[in-house]
Amino acid sequence: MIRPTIAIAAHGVDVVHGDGRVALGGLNLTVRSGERIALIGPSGAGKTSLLRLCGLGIAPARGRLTILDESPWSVDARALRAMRRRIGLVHQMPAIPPRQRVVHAVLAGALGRWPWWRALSSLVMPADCDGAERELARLALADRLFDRCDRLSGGQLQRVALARVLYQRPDLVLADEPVAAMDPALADSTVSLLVADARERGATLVASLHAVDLALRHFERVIGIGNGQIRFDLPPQQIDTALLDHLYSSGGSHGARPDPAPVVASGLSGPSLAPCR
Amino acid sequence: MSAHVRAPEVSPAAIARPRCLRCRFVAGLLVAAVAASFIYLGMPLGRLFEVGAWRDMLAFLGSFFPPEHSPGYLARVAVAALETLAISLLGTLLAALAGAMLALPAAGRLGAGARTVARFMLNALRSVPELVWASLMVLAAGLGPFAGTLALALHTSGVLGRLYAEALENAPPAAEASLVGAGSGAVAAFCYGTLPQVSAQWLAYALYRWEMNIRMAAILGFVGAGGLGAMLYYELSLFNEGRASTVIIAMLLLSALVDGVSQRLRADRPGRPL
Amino acid sequence: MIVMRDPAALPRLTWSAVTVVVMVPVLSLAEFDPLSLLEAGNLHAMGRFLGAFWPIEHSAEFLGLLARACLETLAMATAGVALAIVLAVPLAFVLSRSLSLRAAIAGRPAWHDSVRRGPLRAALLVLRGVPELVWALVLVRVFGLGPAAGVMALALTYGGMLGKVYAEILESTDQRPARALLEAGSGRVAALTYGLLPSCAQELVSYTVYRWECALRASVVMGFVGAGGLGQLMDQSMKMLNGGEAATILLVLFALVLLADALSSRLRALLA
Repeated sequence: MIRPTIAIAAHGVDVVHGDGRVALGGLNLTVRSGERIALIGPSGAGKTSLLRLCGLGIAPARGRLTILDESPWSVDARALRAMRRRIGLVHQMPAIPPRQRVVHAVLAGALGRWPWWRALSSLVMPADCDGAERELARLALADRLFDRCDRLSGGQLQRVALARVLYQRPDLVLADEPVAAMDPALADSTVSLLVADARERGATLVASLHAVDLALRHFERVIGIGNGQIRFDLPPQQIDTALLDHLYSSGGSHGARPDPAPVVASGLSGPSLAPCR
Repeated sequence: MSAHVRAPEVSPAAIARPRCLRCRFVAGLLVAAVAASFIYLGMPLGRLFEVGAWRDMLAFLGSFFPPEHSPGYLARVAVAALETLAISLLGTLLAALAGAMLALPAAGRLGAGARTVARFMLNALRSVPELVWASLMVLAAGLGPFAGTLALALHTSGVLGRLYAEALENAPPAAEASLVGAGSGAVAAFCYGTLPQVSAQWLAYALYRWEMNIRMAAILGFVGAGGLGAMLYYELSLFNEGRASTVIIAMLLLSALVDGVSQRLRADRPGRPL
Repeated sequence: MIVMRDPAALPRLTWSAVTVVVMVPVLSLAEFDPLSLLEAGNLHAMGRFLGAFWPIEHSAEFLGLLARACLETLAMATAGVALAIVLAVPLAFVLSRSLSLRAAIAGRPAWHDSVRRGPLRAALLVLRGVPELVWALVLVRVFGLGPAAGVMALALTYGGMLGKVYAEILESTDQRPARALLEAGSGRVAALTYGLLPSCAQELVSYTVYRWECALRASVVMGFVGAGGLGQLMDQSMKMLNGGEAATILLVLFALVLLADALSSRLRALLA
């Protein structure tokens, strides 16, 4: 497969919710292939909308969008499905059936490339136990391979969802608060694993994070989003407390909710960043 | 309650009085309906108070004793009981498959048109009683247990299809949507995303219907669809009351067995709506 | 071994094997033979029968017959349930432990009470364990062809069911008012009417209405064993392979079942 040169290109893109609220307005963004980007910003600022836009979960109301060198909303259904196969989105709350076993939940990452009969036969006899176990082992969860998902904690379930995306091996990895339910140490090692995996494979990674210190420590490019707009787009060295203060005081979209203090992985963060307010 | 505080001596009947005009009207209608029913049917209720009628009745009941218990006959009854079990099992199995196939369009997964058609089919299948289906299937498949199997399958697929469609509609769609979002095909996404969320409920519904179908399979034979019913019908038409009573006892035992097993299963898994 | 890595593999393999072993005799006992549907004789009979569905029979004479059969079915269900209530009330009254002061005080009934109730419980078990259609088939020999056998069959089966459920409802409602009355020296009937009925009358009536709906479904098919109503008409039409009549009856049956659904839920809503 030819490696794409542009992973995401948006020109004047608007995203509008079903009830008419504007989630993203006039978005301009270019992400080159292989870049690793963190999205930060208050709740309701539009991070999830941006990720869903890139994950082809919502269509733009206006503007030009290119994903992996193609215009997703002007190709036919077959090509669209082929594009989806190359995009992996980890949801904030992993949507995995409670009674499903971990091995199937991870192998589901391959459903895009498996023919349907292989998918069905794998439900009877897991097609690639070793592969699923390998990805789980990277997340220190190999011992839960044959457990049911409803026996896992929230953080473990998030890691199962990440193992699924690792198993999918997409060109574009999108992660929406992938470590929100994990303790600080685990969150740190998990984010570093995601970044390392993307670097090794030359894949593009865009992750939204509540913990600002994780974003600054692991990513080469950090984008601040507030009120449905890009507020800054800088390498982490150029981001200071004043900039973050300004971002988090700008509020979520339309001030619908008071923005909560960003969850800082305390103990790991530098002292200058701990009091963000 | 407040009426009670103000006037403690008022009886409960008096508190209920405001509703009672309507209640009495409905109650009067019901009594009239019952009376009209008896009159319309010309029921010989008077005969219930005649000594002669009771003597005839007792003599008739007495002819059912003793039940036939020669080993050869018991073996035949046992085979018929097994046949009844087989009819119910296969009928329920076929119904579960057909019900699942119909539930997918009935839950609106293949568009509004398919949904309307599937719902109509489910209602039609469900509202024709098993015995009527059996009499139709005897025409289509000939006399014998296969007709009974088909009859049970047809009625039960209507019942199960409706329940299955409800379960599908109530299942959260996020899991399947996220798989489709990652490029998975429709069949695979359904099997990995939604099926695990409904499978336990589907199975519980099927087991529950199987329990009912065992009893039903025992009487489908009256119209020629095999099993214990066919045997009972045959023996009674030859006035072999002793042999008939053996078959009736077999039916009772089968029904008690089903009761016992299902109670055990329910006690074992309290969390599951069997 | 790769297969055995999955701890669920062995149970699954075992269950699959058991299924195969069970299904072989099941298929042969049920004479499973889908090809029989395509046999020339069966196909021809069914084809002619279905072909005659249209036009549906709508001569005034037949419709009159149909209307009478419908009324007969409704009347059978109503009369059957009415008799079942007459049978069930005394049974429940005797069976329910709620009205035994001794049981209320000692926590369990006296031994001779249990002995007295044992045979009654067994009788109820037989009454409701035998399907109503079997009762009908037997009773047709006593009462002759016609709805009387159907009514009596419903009365026996549903009497058994109602008796059991009534007793259970009485036992599951609040026992304190009845107990207070019994301790104050009132009779069992008074304790029932003043102590128990006010709190559980609604549930009792609601369940009875639900049973009436079931009885209507049952009485639709009673005719197949000669006990009158719609089923008898259907049976005759089927035996004469008269597709037009069968089609009309099926339509009426559809409507009747829907009507019973609606009527029963309206009656129960009125109570709630």
